[in-house]
Amino acid sequence: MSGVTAIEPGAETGRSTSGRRFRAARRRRPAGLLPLAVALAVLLLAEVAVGAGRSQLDEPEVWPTPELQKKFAQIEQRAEGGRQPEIVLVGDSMMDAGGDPAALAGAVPGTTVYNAAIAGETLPVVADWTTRIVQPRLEPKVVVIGFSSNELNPSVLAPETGLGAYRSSRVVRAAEGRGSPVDRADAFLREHSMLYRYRSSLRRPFSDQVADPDVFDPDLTPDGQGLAFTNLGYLEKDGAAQAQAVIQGVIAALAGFTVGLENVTILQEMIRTIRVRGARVLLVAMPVTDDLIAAHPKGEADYAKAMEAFAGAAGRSGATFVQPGIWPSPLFADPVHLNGVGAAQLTAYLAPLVQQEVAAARLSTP
Amino acid sequence: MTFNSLQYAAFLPLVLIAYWMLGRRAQNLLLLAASYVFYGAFDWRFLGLLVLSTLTDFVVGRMLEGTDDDGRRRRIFLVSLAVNLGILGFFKYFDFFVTDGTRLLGQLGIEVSPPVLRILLPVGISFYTFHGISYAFDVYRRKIEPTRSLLDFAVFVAFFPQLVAGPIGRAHLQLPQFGRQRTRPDWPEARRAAVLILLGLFKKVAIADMLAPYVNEAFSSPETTSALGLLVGVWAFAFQIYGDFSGYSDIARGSSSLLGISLPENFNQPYLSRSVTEFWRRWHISLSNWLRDYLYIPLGGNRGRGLLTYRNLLLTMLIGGLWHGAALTFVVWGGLHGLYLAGERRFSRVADEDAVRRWSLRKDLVRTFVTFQLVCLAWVFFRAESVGGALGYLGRIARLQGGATDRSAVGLLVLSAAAVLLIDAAQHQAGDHAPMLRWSPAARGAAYGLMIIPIVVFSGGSPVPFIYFNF
Repeated sequence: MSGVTAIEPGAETGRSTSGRRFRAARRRRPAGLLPLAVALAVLLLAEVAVGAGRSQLDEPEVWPTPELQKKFAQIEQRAEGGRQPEIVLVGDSMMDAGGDPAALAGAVPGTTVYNAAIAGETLPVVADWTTRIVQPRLEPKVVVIGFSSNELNPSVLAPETGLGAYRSSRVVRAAEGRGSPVDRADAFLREHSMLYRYRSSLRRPFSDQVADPDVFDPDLTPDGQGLAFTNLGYLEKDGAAQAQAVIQGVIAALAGFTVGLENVTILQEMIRTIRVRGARVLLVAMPVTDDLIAAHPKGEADYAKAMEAFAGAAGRSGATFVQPGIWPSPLFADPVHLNGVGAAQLTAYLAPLVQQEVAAARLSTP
Repeated sequence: MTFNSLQYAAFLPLVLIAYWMLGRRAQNLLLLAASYVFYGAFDWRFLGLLVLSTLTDFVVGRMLEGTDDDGRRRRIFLVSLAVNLGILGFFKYFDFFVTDGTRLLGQLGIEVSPPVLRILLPVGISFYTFHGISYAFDVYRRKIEPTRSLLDFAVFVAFFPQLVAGPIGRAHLQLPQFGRQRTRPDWPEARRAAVLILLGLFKKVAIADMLAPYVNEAFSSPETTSALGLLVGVWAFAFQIYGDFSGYSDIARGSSSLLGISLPENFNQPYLSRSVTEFWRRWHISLSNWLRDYLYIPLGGNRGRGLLTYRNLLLTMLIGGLWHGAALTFVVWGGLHGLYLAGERRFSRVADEDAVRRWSLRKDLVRTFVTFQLVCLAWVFFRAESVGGALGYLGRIARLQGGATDRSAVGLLVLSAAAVLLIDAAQHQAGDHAPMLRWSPAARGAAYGLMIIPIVVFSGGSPVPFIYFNF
């Protein structure tokens, strides 16, 4: 802007043009601000409308998957309400489907159990989630880790497995104290604007048609106490398509199988971190089907190497290692995940082992 | 860093505040640093290419100034061409020519196995190399004086609002702007710039990104979609790419205007075109002008006999197609447009009339509709993964294939098309890219509010990259 010129026409009358401009600008200002005021009124109206209907809307999707989102909320509620469980189950979808917290708590009297396993995630994500999110909030006495051979294949360390999305998601960065100013701005907007907070729910009518279905329905695990799979038959009826999809996924995950040095290191570090904070660790090589073992490129030989690596990692980091081995397929919903009957069997298998760990933990706690 | 990210929402105001506190030279230094930070945020490894292209064209310009020998001037100009096209050719086309060339030779019975390097495509490479070529060409043809300031030239090449997806800059229009003191935009100019940015965000986030999942679905699984669903997919892509690219251009122009730099218009209501010739006067205007001035006219333009003109048209559009991407689909897309233009030139004189006559609903609706369908036919090749995929897609429409039709996609297409056409009609009526500035204050405010709401709602998750970043 050029500002006021040196010789101004208004000088002859003793009244400066700048003064006139100023007064004119003051007169114009309300009209200049009117569009802004109307725009703000429209936005305010939208805010009020969304706020009024918020009970019909889902909470914002800030975690990379709905299950992480739901379990984080449950963990926060438990931590804030002083309802931390003594025993926490962690792992991937095998423990997610097979771990039955209510049944295990019943089988180990005087304890409470929470299933913090997350489907679709891999060893590094589970390790990060367990040590940075779950354990600091729930402070359990015993952590039961459930994995199988696929988590030792180096391919699970690739960013496209979900590790990249998990590590770079805004909420994980914030939860781990790595948040940037943009993350903080996002958190501020979520806190103070209804429109911003509930936008994922508001746009659902436009985007749901093409959304990928989530294999694990988080509604099946209310408060982390239910089971993911209950009555699915192994490769039968309604479960057949899902079972085929699972086995294809497993074959892909086991392609070029080797025991990755970095994977073993991550597992050891995970166990060490949990133990340093005062919890005992039970490492379970989850029960498997013959079909799962056959999906390894070298079959049983590959699987045996993985079990040896699990035992070694547990031994070096001070965890108890157990290996239920091969179980019959009627106990499974698909070639990988236990069904309701299988989960009950796993509870019976784990109960005495967990009981020992809890007793040892209680003894060592002053 | 993309225009539709929170990072850019913080970056632009910070640059603006610092920029308007500085003098001209310091402003250019700041712009250069900001542009390199902006570009480096995509992938810092490719900054070296940008610097190489800049230095080459600057030195070429200076050397051209130092000689009157036509032969020597020609050789110097060829250096610029070789470096820019060399960078473009290697990073964008090497793998394409190797894989497709090998396949072609294989069909001729000649088996070769050259290496495929899986080279990463540097963002914006097609745009900044074209900036450099246009400068060197204009200096070579003595249309402009070469600049003596490396700083001004480097800012011209790397200017962040237009660096990664245009509009493609022209040295004679932009370089002088970086060489002189800029005037801080007054309130009406700043308001116009802000409205352009808002309109651009609306087109990108609330139209293009909303349509994207449905377009992806139609093109990724055409075998399970009905003919109507596939038609909806193509039409949706037409509005998606328009919203995406014109939205980008609006934000670029608005951002640039706040920095006191004027960028050329890139879109002028293209889907109101009554012929393909007119479409190319309204769609990606900076590219069609570039191709006209640096390719079509040097090839002879329409000065020769009829056949030569058709050859020039076809060649220009084929190369224009290839400029978009290293794939046969883009070549076919360009070829189709070349055929349209040649056909219109041969059989009709509408193009010249259209340049001066205003659009009329009563007279022009049918021609506009036919033109839109021709453009959409070509879009199928532009969007498909392969020529075979595009032909299969069109075949399914022609056979009236049965299958699922996503009703919400139809509804969304109608909504998006209505929004785009309303904006276009308002711009056309007002002769202004920010038509709401002519409305009453209350209507203007309501329009701002109603545009911000869908921007907020649809801007969740990671920002969706602009389609033209791939080119």
